[in-house]
Amino acid sequence: MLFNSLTFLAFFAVVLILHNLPLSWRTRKANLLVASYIFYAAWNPPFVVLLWVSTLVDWFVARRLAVTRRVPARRGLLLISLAANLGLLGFFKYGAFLTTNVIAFARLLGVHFQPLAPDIILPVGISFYTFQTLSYTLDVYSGKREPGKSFLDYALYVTFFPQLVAGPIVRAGDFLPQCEEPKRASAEQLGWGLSLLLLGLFEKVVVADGLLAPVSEQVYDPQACPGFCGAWTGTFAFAGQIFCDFAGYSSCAVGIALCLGFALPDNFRFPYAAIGFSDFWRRWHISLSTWLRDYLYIPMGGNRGEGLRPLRNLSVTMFLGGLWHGASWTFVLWGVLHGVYLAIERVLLWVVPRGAFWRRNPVRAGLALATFLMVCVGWVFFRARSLGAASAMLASMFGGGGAQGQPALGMGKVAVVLGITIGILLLHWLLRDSSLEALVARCPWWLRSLVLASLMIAIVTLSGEDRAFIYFQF
Amino acid sequence: MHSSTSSSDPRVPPGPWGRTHAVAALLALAVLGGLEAFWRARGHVPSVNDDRDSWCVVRERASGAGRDTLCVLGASRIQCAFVSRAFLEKCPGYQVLNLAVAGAGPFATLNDLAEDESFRGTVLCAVTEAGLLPEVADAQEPFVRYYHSEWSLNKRLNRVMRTALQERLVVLHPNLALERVAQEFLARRRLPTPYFVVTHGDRSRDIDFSRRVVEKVEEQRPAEGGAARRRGPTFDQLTISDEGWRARVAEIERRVRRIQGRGGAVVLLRPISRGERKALEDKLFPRWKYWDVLAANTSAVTIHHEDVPSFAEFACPDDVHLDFRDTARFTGYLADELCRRGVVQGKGAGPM
Repeated sequence: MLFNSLTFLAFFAVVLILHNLPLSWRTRKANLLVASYIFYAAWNPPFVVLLWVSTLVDWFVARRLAVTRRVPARRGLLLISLAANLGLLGFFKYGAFLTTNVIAFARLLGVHFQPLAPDIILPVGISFYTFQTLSYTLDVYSGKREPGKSFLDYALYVTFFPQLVAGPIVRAGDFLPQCEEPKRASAEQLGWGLSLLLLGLFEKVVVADGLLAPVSEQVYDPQACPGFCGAWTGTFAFAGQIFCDFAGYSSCAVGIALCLGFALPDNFRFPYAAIGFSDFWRRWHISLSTWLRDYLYIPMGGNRGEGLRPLRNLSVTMFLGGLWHGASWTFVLWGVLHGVYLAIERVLLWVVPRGAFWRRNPVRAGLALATFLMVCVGWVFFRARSLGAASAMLASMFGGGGAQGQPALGMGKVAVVLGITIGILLLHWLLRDSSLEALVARCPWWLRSLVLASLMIAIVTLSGEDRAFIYFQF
Repeated sequence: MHSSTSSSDPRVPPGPWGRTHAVAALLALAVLGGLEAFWRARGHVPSVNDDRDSWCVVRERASGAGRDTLCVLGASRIQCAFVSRAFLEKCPGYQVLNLAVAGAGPFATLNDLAEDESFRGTVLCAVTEAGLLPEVADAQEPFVRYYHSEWSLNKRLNRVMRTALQERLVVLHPNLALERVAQEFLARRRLPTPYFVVTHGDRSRDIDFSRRVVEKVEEQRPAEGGAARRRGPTFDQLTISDEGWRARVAEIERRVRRIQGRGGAVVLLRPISRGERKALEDKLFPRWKYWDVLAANTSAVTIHHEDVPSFAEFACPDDVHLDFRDTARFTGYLADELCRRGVVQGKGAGPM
């Protein structure tokens, strides 16, 4: 079920009413759990079974871990969880990719075979809830937390519909304690939650889908051959689109959860004002980057170790981070590119002396702009459908291709994309050390009304084709 | 633009949120109501945004349908010409399902209905010779694939609700989206004029040629992402050998037989062409060489527009489409012809 659909509005209204009836806390949590299954089943009912498998495996593994002291047995239990979760993820997400690459590799060796093409549908959100349940088991394994006491709470943690299909990836330590006390949103939480929902829908429906997606689709069309200007405009459009799409989803998720009295963690913090790539990853898809840091990078050794070990850890983490996004070499390259960016940044931090010069605002703004442009180069791999298409786009962006200068976007579209890009960059820069809550707290109520009314009008009058959220595919 | 997506911060902005949202909702309603009245006063009417979901809503109803269901297949010519109401006046008791897709040959949908074991209805398939060629005939395949792989109850409910709203509210017309209005205003210093095509909730379309501004047709076309857009050879580049055509006819016949085998019926209708377009079609696909071969080798009922005298009175302002003022009459004549051929039962007889 898409947040930007009428069925979701009807569904959410019913859930909100049920959640505020004078029922026991246990019943209301059960309502939320059932609603979450309905939310997921609305896309493809049979795949709810996968959610149940993931839920049951990790629930039982964690409970066994709590009473098992022998290291080999504990490792065996962890392996069961890893095999079940990563096995499902691997089969559904990487099965076809693996088969294609094995065939290609065999051809290189002169072996020609053609197995039946696997017709696998990717269950929506599988990467998100797999990481979420894994973090629970890994935390219990490493002794960071006790297993949950209530199966209902745990099942709700895995399935909670606001963040089920595209995050934020919530840690058990953040969510399960919230299930212990009865929750209803206060008037202010409900008001702010609904505001966030509206804001998220505006970002998604109006900015991402209505204004930017048509331009990026036109430029990244396999038959297009954009020139320098078209390629950069299309890439800026995609940079804005993916941010507004994903941050919009996260805003909706946080807002919806808040309407139900639950708090979800940060997922974005004005990422296009980042100065450098370490800063970028502290601001972009925070719940994934912290997951990768805590469960992959640090266990591999993190910054510790001799010589090139930290860089190896970084490279492996970013490689897998890229692969997490999609079963395609373009995503892998996107991850590797960010790994290279981070490695170069780390080397520069060793080499370049620090001083007052780097703290000057114009210099910082210049560095933020350079970071954004390099992030945009990375987005080319993320958006292009193949490595060939990505290299053609990069050639156009750096003046080596697209001689025909097509497609002609028109000045109107270029102006819209540039206007939105500059707007996003300015807003992120102005708010990079602040928060939206702080900004809104300073606004009088009538101004908030005016803004919210404008968002509603824009959403209603700019609703074009229904597009799924980009991150649903991951 | 919201970037800090957190509710973990206990600092939820304080304030009178109830009043804030109530005033915002009233303000939005007032503005949207004003816009609705404004556009209506300028001659705009509601129109449904035709996409894959609206097609699937209709396609779903075809499953399990019997002979009292008439499925209309084809491209824009029949989508804009067939008026369910006019047909039902002549043949009451039928269920009409419009599965035509503008700009796309109907072969994939015909095939899909043939493969659907529960379908036992009557198919009215409006098709030109070019529309049956392999290069263009499968243009509806994405719709069929989407129906079988992605269609769900959730999507159906959403589409039904959207259609209900789009049928009633002008502000939801894709041409009146703020972005399009702004573009039009910046480019021409004027507000959008009413679009000459209106799509109804049942997917039928009206074309009002008196409102058509020829040079603006492409610009005015609503952004219908789901609609088929054909890439490939242009019409005058399409060609097929005699053997190829016979093979194509045999493929169609196999589908026809499957539907007939379950008690259904198929009518192949050659829609009206006029003027230069007809001259070009006659040159590229002479009737004796194509349509007549099809008619001679199929068990479907075939109707060529030239064989129905009453069709001669219709002009097509753009050579291929009827003006909406003519479509009810055209549908009535077509219903008469279908009754005469025994495909459907007219008033008093009830559906077969």
